[in-house]
Parts: sequence; structure tokens; C-alpha cells
Amino acid sequence: MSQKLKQNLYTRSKNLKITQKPVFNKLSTCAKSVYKIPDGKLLRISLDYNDKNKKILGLLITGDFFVYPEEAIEILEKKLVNTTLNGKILKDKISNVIIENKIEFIGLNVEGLVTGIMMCLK
Amino acid sequence: MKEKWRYLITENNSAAKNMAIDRAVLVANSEGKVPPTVRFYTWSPPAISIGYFQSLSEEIDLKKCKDFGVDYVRRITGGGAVFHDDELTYSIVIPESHPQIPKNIMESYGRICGAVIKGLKNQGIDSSYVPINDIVSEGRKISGNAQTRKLKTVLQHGTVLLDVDIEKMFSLLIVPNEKIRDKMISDVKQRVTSVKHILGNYVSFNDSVNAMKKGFEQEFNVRLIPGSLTDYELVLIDKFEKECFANPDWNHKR
Repeated sequence: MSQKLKQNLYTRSKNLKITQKPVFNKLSTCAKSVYKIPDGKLLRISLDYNDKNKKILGLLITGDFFVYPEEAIEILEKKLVNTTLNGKILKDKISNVIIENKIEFIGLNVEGLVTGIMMCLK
Repeated sequence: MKEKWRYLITENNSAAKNMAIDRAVLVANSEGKVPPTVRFYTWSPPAISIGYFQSLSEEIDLKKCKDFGVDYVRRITGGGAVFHDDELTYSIVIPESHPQIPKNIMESYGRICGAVIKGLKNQGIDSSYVPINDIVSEGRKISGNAQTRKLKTVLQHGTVLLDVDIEKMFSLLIVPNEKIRDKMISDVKQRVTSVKHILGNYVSFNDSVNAMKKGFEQEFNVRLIPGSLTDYELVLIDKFEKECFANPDWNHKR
């Protein structure tokens, strides 16, 4: 699963035309979570993070929710790279990206996203 | 005098072509080249469409799709995986600024689903809209819907189940393990219904389309005029099919 996750994230980085590949090294830890947002949709997180400094190396946010505009999910995933895995930091970062990019969630919310990401650490 | 919208029926298209048509109509409408359009369509071969945000490998058993001859495609709309087999699929494309379309996305779901509800009523089926994107009858889901807004244009597409084979559906979708599969099939049987199940007899696609067409006319107080895809749309369809919906890079992107 770990290798597959890394492949997924690398494939995504190519799609996003990110020039710098995700850094996979011995500190890289891959994890997944599945979280049903209360009164919302099913959220799946595939996370690759640095186990030493607890910073995000890459992530995929998937599920049957709605995001407007749709392409904003890729902006959000990209902006969360290098963010520390801490509930408040994640919440602030995601909220800022939503405001900056005029993103609207349906069946998904900031709290749910933070919960889904943090669940990967358990 | 009632406003005239275009009305299309396109049967038996591949998954990639169906999604390319919806996108082409959206682009053409956004450029003012075609009027608001309601389309009813079917899929051949049967297909699974996944929501824009879903992971193909997490949702679909690709080997079983190949074994059963079932196609697959990633939509430009969010939402969940849908097995398109014995169903009526609709799409509506209309400018965001059209007075019939609420600015609020959730309200616009409700409004467009209102047309589907009237279409079901015309077939003798009582149903209601259940946010976020479902229509239920007798407490069970009969229609799923998904909307996107691009180029200041609304595209909503959705399904009305004419009949449903839940065992086949679950053989194609990935579930965590066999024990859960049995439970999920049992749960879904309790949560999903079809026109055939409610009426006790099978209603053909053509009969259902007539009822749905009236439903859209009633809800939006318009006349749906039969039309066809324009040459411009046909060019766009070919482009979107090749570049996007029939392209593994698109379908496997997440």
C-alpha cells in the first residue's frame, strides 16, 4: 500500500506539473484514513508525511463530496504540502486556502478535512 | 409565450462519449451558441461513472469491469460512483445567470431535482428531494444527481433507476471485504429502489423520457423543442473524448 500511495502521489505531482517531485526518504511515512463527515459525504485521505518533523510531503483528498470549483481540490492538496500535522495549523491553513480561492464545499467541511488528515496519524 | 429550450435524446453511447457530450454542450451554451439544453441518454456498454474527486482504483474493480464488459469514466462533477445500466440519465445545461436557476448551489440542486420529481409524478411515482443530491421515493433512493458550474454555466446530470441489479453493481464496486459486501448489499437493497420496483411493472426508456420531458417543461415553464447536436458541439465532443474522457490519464488521475 505504501508504494502504491507513493506512486499515486507522484503521478499526481506529474499531473499538476509540479517541477519538484515529492521527497520520499526513510523518514517518509504513508497512511490512509476513511472518515464519514457528519451530515456529509465519505472522505478518504492518503497522506505521505515526514515522521520526524510531522510535515506533509503529499496528500490526496478523495471521496464522493462536492467542491466548487472542482479543480480547487488540487490547489488545496498542493498548498498543504509542508504544513505541520497539527489540528489548529491545518484548520487555519485550509480556511485561508478556501477564502483565497473562493472555494465552496458541499458534503465536506474544514473540520472534517482536519479530522480525516489527523486520523492518518493514529 | 413560453421560452424554448433544446431537447436531445442520445441513446447507446459509450461512457466517454456521454461525458464528452455533456461537457461540449456546456461549452457551447457558455458561448451563447446553443440554448439551454435538456438531454436524456443511455449508456452502451453499461458503465460506471465516478465522481471527479474519487480514486478510480479505490472505487472500481477494474478487472471485473473488463470481465463483464463494463465501461468506466471519471465525471467532471463530484459525487459518488454510479453503475449506469438500466436507467434514464438526464443532463441540463443552462447559464448560471438564467432567472430559473438559483444562485445558491444547494437551492439549484433542489430546483432541478424538482423537474425530475415532476417527471416521476407523471409516471405515478411520488418522490421528494433529499439534500445533498438524492431523490427518494417510499424512503428509498431512486435518483442521484451531480452538478458542476464552469464558464458561468450550470451542468447537472443525474439518473433515474428504471430497474436495478444490486448484486451486479456490487460485483463491480470495491468493498472492503466479503463480510461487509453481504451487509452492504443488504443495506443498499433497503435504501435503493427503481421505477419497476415501485410500479410493479417495467417502464421503457422512451416512456420514461416522455414523462421526464413533461416534468422539465412543468418545473421550468418552458417548451422543450427536439433538436440535435451542432457541428461545433460534434467537434468539441470528439476533442473532449480523445483528450479527456477516453484518456487513461484523466480517468486514473486520482
